[in-house]
Amino acid sequence: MKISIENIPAGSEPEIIIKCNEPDESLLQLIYSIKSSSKKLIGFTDLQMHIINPKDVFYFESVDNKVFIYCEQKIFQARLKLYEIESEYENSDFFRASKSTIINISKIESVSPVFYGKFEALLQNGEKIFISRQYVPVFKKKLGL
Amino acid sequence: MKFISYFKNSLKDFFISSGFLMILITMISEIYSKETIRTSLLFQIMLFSLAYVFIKLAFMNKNEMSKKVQLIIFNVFLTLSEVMILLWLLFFSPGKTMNIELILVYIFALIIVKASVYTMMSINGEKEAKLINEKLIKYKNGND
Repeated sequence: MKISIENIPAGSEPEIIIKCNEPDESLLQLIYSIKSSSKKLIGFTDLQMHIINPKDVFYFESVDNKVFIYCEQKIFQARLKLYEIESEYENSDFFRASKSTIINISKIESVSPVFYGKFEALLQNGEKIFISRQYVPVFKKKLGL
Repeated sequence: MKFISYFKNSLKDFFISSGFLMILITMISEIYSKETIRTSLLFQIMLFSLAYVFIKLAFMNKNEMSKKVQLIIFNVFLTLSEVMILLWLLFFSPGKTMNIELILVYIFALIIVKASVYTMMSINGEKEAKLINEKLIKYKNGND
């Protein structure tokens, strides 16, 4: 893909023009990531509110009807439901790994088979998360397999 | 989830499935104008309920447990559910065509099939994981 950057007059708003015939999936994903680059997540710890960059999130987990945001070391509580997070970020690096978790692909170090079609994802912070059998196709589709 | 909660849930499942089968049998007996339910039917209900509970326990997500423990629990409960079905075949199957020798042949065949399925799945899993890991590296490089 050819990328051209043109200088614009000072003070004018930056503009991105994409020239293509038929936008394919990778291009659509690129457009989505440009659009959602400014989208931030809000997480809570006790009485504090934090603004979190989705790129820093390792995974989301739902425990007892509460959704938690797991970053490298910190854990925040989210106000959104897991299905809302799934639909909000399904076009980015996130995918549903089980009924209760959504994982950021870019934070997966490697995967290993467990049994009966299940996989275990080793994250960059050393945590291990299971990928349920029924969500393995979602993961594979995301990777283009 | 701790052991006690697994036990509680399993007990609940056992009573639910027993109740469901009991209602079903009562309805069928009513349709065929049978006024009594044989004791053996109650034992059959218990066997099927136990088989259901064991299958559910085998396939339940136990993500908080280690890989090895999950594998052991999966195999133990799946085998127990199969044992329940075999017991039904041995004691209650229609016409009682089953005998001990046939049961042993069934168990042997079951073990062979299970071992081969497990080996095949494990080989496939390794292959798939290798492919996914390669794609994962490409995906991450593409995103950088």
